[in-house]
Amino acid sequence: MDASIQRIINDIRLSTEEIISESPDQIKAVYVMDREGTVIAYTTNTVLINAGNTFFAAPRFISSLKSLVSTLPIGGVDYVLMQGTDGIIQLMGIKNVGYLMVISNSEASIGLMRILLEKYSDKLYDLLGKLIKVSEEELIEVINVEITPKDIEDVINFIKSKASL
Amino acid sequence: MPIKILKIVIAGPYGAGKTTFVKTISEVLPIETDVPLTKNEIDGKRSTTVAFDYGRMKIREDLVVHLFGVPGQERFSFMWKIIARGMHGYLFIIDSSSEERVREAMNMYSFFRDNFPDTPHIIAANKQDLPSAVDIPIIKSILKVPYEVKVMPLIATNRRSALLVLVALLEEIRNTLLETVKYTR
Repeated sequence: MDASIQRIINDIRLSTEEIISESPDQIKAVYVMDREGTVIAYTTNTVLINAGNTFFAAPRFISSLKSLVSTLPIGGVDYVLMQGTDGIIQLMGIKNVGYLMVISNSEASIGLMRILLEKYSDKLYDLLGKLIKVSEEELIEVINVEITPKDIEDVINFIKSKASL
Repeated sequence: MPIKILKIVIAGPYGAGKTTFVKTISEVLPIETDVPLTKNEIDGKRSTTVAFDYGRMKIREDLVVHLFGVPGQERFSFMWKIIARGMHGYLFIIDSSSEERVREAMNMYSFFRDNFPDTPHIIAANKQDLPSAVDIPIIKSILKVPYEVKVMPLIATNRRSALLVLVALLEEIRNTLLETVKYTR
């Protein structure tokens, strides 16, 4: 992976660790996601939670939220609080670049979590912005001359000729 | 002369056989690996080296195939979207030596289906030479593969098997392009 991208992702991961260290007895997990909800970095508190697979649940969660709010007169997803039987999710939109989500274990921590979300959102906004910029600049984007069915046919024939299929 | 680039992504979970697949086809086809990528091959302004699995094959003076392998580990899921951006098709390789290994591919396959729903692809069930290999219909059922998507047996160490899978993917891409051309006329 490109080194500068890896460095930024590591910085984001360090931020998730910092957030957990702010209240290790209450925070179960912290996730930073991009605009579509793909997890960029996360940290789980292994004392309070088994490392669940929210990698793939997160994009669906975000897209469901976006669909839901699009039918309501409240604008984009800015802040969500959801209480389950085993924990509380607090999710904050980081302007137009991504989301920060904290899973905590008790109602008593809701206020503190909200403060932490606010506290780290500026820092994460900078990091996510850098990540988007670097990934767009540094990685090849193959959108140029249109490929035609004839081109594909040529590739197939080329392979068959080399491999005598 | 503008250069056309056909971008193919080799996806699949960790240990499915992606690197073996590329290595095997490289033994037959003139694929260059670990060469710097030129971001703007047309104007030649700058070049960018990337560090994931990569292969390049020149078909004509104006036609090049790029093969990108995506890292299978979930912690790199953010990269999957970046690497896959602009791809013409993808080969999704799974380890089909046991039902458990097939299940390990569910999340990554869903990710690709969710993020690239209209991109042509086929699934290659690797390690079909093992006695414990899972049957293709069971694989389709476990991964909830859409009816129209092909699941092909693969032995990634076997040249003929690997090439047949690659050609099958190219045929899928060609058919999709033909359909697109038909509907845009």
